[in-house]
Amino acid sequence: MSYADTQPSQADHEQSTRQSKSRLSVALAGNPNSGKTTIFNAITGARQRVGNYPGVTVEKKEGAARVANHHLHVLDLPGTYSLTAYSQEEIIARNVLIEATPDVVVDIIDSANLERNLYLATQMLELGVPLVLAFNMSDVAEGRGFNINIDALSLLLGVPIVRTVGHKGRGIDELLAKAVEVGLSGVKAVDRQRCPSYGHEIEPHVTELTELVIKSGGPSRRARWFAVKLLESDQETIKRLRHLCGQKAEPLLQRAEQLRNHIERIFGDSTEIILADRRYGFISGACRESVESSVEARHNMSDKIDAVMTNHLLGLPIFLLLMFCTFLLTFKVGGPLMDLVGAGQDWLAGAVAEVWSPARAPLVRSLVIDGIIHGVGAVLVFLPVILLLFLAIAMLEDTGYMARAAFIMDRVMHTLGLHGKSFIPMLIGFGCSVPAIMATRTLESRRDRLTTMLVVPLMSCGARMPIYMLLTAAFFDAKWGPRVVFLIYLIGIVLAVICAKLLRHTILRGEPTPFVMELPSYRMPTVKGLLIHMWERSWQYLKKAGTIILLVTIILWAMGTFPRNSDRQDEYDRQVNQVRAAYGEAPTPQQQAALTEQLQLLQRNKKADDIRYSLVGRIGLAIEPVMKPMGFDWRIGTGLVGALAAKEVFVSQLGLVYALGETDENNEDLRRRLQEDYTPLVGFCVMLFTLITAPCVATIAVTHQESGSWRWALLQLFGLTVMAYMITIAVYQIGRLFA
Amino acid sequence: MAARKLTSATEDYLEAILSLVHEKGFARVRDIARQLGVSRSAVSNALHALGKRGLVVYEPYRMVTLTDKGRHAAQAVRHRHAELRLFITDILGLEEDIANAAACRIEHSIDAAVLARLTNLADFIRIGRTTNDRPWLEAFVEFCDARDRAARSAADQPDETGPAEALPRGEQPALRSLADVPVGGTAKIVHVGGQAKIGQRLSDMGLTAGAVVSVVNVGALGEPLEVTVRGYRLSLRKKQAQAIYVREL
Repeated sequence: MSYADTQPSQADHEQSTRQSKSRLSVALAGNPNSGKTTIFNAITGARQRVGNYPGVTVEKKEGAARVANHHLHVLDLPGTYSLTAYSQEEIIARNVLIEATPDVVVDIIDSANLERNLYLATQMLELGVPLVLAFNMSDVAEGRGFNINIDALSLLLGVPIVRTVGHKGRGIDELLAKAVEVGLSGVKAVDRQRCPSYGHEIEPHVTELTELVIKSGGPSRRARWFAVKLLESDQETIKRLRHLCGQKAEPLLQRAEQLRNHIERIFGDSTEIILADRRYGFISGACRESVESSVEARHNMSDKIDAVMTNHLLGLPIFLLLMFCTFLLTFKVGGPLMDLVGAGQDWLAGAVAEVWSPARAPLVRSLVIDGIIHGVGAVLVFLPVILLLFLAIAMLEDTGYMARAAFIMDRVMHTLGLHGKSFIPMLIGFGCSVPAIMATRTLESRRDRLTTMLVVPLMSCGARMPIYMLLTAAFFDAKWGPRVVFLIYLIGIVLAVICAKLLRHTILRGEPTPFVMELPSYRMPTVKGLLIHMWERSWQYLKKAGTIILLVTIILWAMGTFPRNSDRQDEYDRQVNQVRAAYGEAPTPQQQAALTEQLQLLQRNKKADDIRYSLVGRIGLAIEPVMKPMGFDWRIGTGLVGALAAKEVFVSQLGLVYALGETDENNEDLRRRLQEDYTPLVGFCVMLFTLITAPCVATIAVTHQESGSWRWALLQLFGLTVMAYMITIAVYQIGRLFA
Repeated sequence: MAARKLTSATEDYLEAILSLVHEKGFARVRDIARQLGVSRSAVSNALHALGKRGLVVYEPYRMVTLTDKGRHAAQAVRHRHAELRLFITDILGLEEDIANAAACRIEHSIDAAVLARLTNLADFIRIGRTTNDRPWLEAFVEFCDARDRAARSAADQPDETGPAEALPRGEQPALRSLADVPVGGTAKIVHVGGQAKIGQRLSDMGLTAGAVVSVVNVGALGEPLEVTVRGYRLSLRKKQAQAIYVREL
């Protein structure tokens, strides 16, 4: 049962039972950059849970707190400027307020930026939720010469106001006490609150519609809110009313449309804008009565920093330098850590292999070593870079620089149909697509996010480098090698630009999101805040993408292992015995060396045959006709199937197929064999194909997680593969004409 | 015609002096003569006449300065000129030099009320308001009524009156889009136009009629704009700024 559907008498009853329950739900609302997260952290400490709202990628944060004998359940609403249906965040915030009906809403206000922050509060008042205002960062406001008469303002709005300084934990206890008080008094607190009045021309229309909403069976407690939203012709509200009132909604909607037209005729302006005007008028009026500003020109520290950071000449170099530092921190510091995780994984696999003799349950042994340990390693290997990347992003965001980065890059990115903030994921993409796709979270518009997400894999990631190294070393000389690699990177960037444009003109078509972005004051981030941000996002990666990556790694292991050729195994055993027998019981050291070499050769040949016999090899063989137009044979095909697990696997897979055992990109034998079997054109085509084709499973898994649906992940998978296929065929076929 | 009505020649003199003072900080007889293409003695004679009417302060061989009354009259002429020139270039789509020449001739004879309506018409077209299938004329008349009402209510609330409203109607600085305000400029929002939902977003962020905006910075490639409104920094693209109509302060 929710407030929205109850009559006042029922609500009163509900409230009296609430007294004894001592469980209260508190929702934290507020503008972005109002210090809401800091307050949330201060209230709940470590008792937080982060998840997503169902079906969308808006973060849902919950926590708990205790005040006297009351248990508080605290929900951190997404930061919004308003309660229109402009963004996903706004829709979620207002749906929670209407449907989940928290006992009390705490609106965090940036005291140094009073008017715009109070705008959200006026809409909460309209919505009729029990409200407490926290005037956060009151120290900053005082420093800037604002003298706010809290008592006067509290009286004018009919809402309790508490001063807080979030990062110092000041005023939090008082805030919670007030929240409990208001939460317990429920409806009575709402009755004291004052709504903005829309003036003598519009107010009668609002009243008329409010009565009509009640008569039509709409929610009486929220009737005024619904009336106002109807005048604004808010589509979400119209849908909701149709759902709530059925047939009765139609005359109501018609009347609303009439009144709306009437207002637009009188004022010569759209109703939404006029209503927003009036709300700001209400705020200005209240502030005139209660706020004094002692300093006229407010050239504060933040403005001085900005004069440098967004300077015409210095802005771009500073931005590039910071991006370079982010990249360095993520991959130069993260790279060795990645290697460490990889080494740890190898050590563990080796240790298990040592203890677990191949004779006992060989299949389970292989599953544990090559499947599970390898799979967990594949997940954990990304963790260092992801932690560091999110640390860097948290720093850029919490200091307020991220908005400036978008400001500087917007002109360029806008021509690609993207937002200024898309630049950061694109750059991270050169390191690794997984954290890059996670970095798209900083984008507000879903269309921008999806476009960026889909094209990020075209930024050639670090894992493709071993492939390029192997192939350029095999097919091109020292002079041309680097140029070819550079060309490949360039092709990736150009394709990303083309694809972004294409997506924006087809499935992700639509007005480019209006770029109306706050440039918040620069702020010193807190260590606690940074760590919490970093950990929350990394944990989500581990939980969501990790499971899928682990699963797929095990599936790929199975595909590379089954079906097993038992005849070949017997033959191998026989051969081994033969060789051993030939050398007798006590070989000399020279003989011992020769024996070992022969045994290794046998083992390599067997592995090559096993791969060929396995599902991966069979797929490689089966798709050979399809690969032919690109100049690829079954060996390359097998390598590419393996590369789905991780791009660099291509190199070791190719080594196995050539019966060279475990190889890396510096293996001379592998290079020679490649030179014998393929032309430089094929080498180039392999590079081109690995650049464009479907990224590794980890990327697909993260795209699935971040886009919230398989649709986009599959589009990425197939779209890129088909594009790679067509482009590579074209290059190979045209190239052959000249060769 | 009322005796106070200035002749077109007088207005030309006042305009020339105002622009010279604005440009160089002072006006001399020979500069005025060069600007208007007349002889120095003619200028000297005219300045004496203007001095007698209390429009300029002039003594031979000294700098020429405008009195308050003179400056006010000169500004009014200049405003009419600017408004007419904009109408001819933006609305009628004619070349700048044709517009200037025509504006020079019309500015002396046009009525304040007619000019105000012409400005309204230009704004009406610039803002491009949808008329909901009503005849344009009907929508335009309503638009003018709404404007007059707004002007009256602004006059009723003296504390809301900024420097722009201190000038009589029809003599305010021309309406232009926020995108055209130079860096360092400050303006008062008159109207937020464009698509309704985007207009709502802009209004939500505090860009409402009557709010004062200063342009602080522009991105290196001319976009986006960084403005201060209601005490905070906001950044927006030219496209959004073009839908916001302001009068510079």
